[in-house]
Parts: sequence; C-alpha cells; structure tokens
Amino acid sequence: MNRRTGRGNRLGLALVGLVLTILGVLALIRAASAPTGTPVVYGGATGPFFAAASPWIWWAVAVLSIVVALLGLRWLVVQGRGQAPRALRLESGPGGVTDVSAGGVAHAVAADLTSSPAVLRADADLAGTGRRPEVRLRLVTDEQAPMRALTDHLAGVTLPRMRSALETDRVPTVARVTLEPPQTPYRMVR
Amino acid sequence: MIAPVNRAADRAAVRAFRPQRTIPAVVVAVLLTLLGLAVVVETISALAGHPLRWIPYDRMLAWATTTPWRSPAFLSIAALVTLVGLALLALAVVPGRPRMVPARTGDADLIIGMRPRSFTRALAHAAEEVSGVHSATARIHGRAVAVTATTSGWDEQHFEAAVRDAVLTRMAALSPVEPYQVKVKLKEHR
Repeated sequence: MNRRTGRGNRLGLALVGLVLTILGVLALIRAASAPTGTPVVYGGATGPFFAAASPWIWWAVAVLSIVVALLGLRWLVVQGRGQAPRALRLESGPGGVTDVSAGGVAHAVAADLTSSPAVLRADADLAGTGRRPEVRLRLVTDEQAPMRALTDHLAGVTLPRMRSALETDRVPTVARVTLEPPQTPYRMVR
Repeated sequence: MIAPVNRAADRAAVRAFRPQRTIPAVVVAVLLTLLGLAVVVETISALAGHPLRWIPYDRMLAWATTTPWRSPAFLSIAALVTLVGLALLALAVVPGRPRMVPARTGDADLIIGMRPRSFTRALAHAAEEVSGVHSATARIHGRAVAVTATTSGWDEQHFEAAVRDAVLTRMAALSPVEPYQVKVKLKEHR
C-alpha cells in the first residue's frame, strides 16, 4: 500500500461526495420552492432547449462521460500501486541498464535485520521505482527489547546499506512490527 | 531510551497507518466507470442512429414528466443522494483509527508501527512480571490502556502502583508516538 493512494482515495471520495451533496441539496431546495403538483420535467422549456442544442450537446455529454469513465478506471488502477516490482532499474543509458532484483535486495535486508538481537524474524519487500525505492518490512521483535534498539539498528546499519545498494539518498521505510515474548527454555508452572 | 522528538516524523508515522479507504474508493470508482461507460455508449449509439437503450431512459423521462417535485418518491431520492454524498465526505475527512500503534523513530523516512494486539500483549506481560500478579490483560480504549491484573494479595495500593510502574516502563521502552494513559484494575485471585 502506498501513502499517496490513501491521499488520492480521500480526495476522490471528497469530490464525489461533494458533487452528490450539492446535487441532493439543490434538488431538495428546488422541490421546496416548486408549486404543488408541478412535475420534475414538464413541457415548458426542457424540450425546446435540448432540441435547439442538438446534436452538439450530446457530443459534449459523450466526451464528459468518457472523461468520467477514464478517471474511474485510473482510480481503480492506482489501488494496486505500491505492490512489489520484480526488479528496480537503477540506471539506464547508452552503456546499458542496471537492474537490481527486488527479491535479492529484500533478502539481504531481512538477513541483515535478523543479526540484531531485538529482531526474531524479518521479512522485507521492495516497492516503488528505481529512482524512488521504498522498503516494506514485516518484523517480529522481542517485546522486552526497547524500540530504540530496533530503530538504531535500522537507522545505523540496515538503511545506510540499503541506500548504498540502491544508489539513492532516501529510502523511505515502513516497518510493521509484531511483538513476541522472548523464547524461554522453561515454562513456569503456577 | 527515548528517541529524539521529531514532530514531522511523528506526524508521518501517525498518518502512515491511517485507513486508506480502499473499499469505498473501489466501490465508487467502479460505479463511476460503469456510469461513464453506459452514458457514452448510449449517447454515441443514439448519435449514430442506432440507440442501444441499455438504460430505459424513455421510462425515466416518462416518470419525471408525471412525478411532481414534492412527491415522496422524488424527495426521498434527493434525500438519499444527499446522505450518500455526506457519508462519502465523512469517509474522506474523518482520519479514522490507525491500524497500527506508531512508534517514535525521530526520522520521517523511517516509520514503524506495532500491531495493537502485540502492543497490549507486551504491556500485559510487563504487568505479569510484577510478583504477586497471576495474570493480566490489557486493552486499548481510545488514548488509554486499561490493564486488568489478577493478584494474589490484598495490598491494593501496592499492586496498583507496581503494575502501573511496570506497564509504564514497558510502554516507555516501546516508545509509541502518542502516549497512552494507563488505567489499572485489580482482581483478587481465589
């Protein structure tokens, strides 16, 4: 998942919500001010208006609907944004391209993290693009270890290595941590 | 043991785990796409001289020409549209409960979240380490953690202070971005 997707979803919902609210309120106001018994559409002006505006108004409606459908499709497509790519392109130029396998980097990150005593198990995924790579971590850490031990290891060891491996200055990282009690060799019986 | 306070980093961590509103976004996006496509198909086919009539628009027009503005049917449709619009606006604006307990890292590019179940379990385990406490459970209620400890003694004041201390110490080590108030409840073990 991607933070930009969340923001986009909220923006889209707000826009659609605003349009529906305005339409609904306008309809209610119009209904309140209409003389009793007037139908919603009546002979008066509606028919001649569309007759005079034909056919260009229908082309306008068609174009507008195409735009709405495309926006809807795009909105759907970006929900998949942020899923792990198979390889990240670090460089491309006349001399060739440099790709790095996402699985390989993720594997190295996970292995590096498990060297910290606070981390019991680690799993990593790369996301984003070659220029803006992102790291997703799923960690199981010792609940008795201070969080500081984990942040220090990440900020001091893992992320600098990631940055040099991916040849970038920033590697935004999101870690989801499950805390577990440390494995004890005995069980206390009460 | 507490990471340096960096407000931008704290805000980023809280924001990262806010609900992304994926399900309402997908529903609205699908409906928008279908609506756009249906209107495009209808208008273009009618302009080409072969109206498809997937949408029964003749019947809709007939309904609109016979239904008065103030009919219950029209008013309830308008009210429904308004309510749906307001609901979408609310989904967009209300931040929602984070799915993770964000931890303080001091770095906006390093975001760590603890699973709420893990967090409360770690706090309960800390309470259980107090001698005389048989078992403990912890729950998050808004901005407070309610700890219920089963003790084998009568010195309520002592247990309450000891349990609170143990829980607060563990919580400080886990360094959540927003501190939780600790409420201790004691039960006597029989």
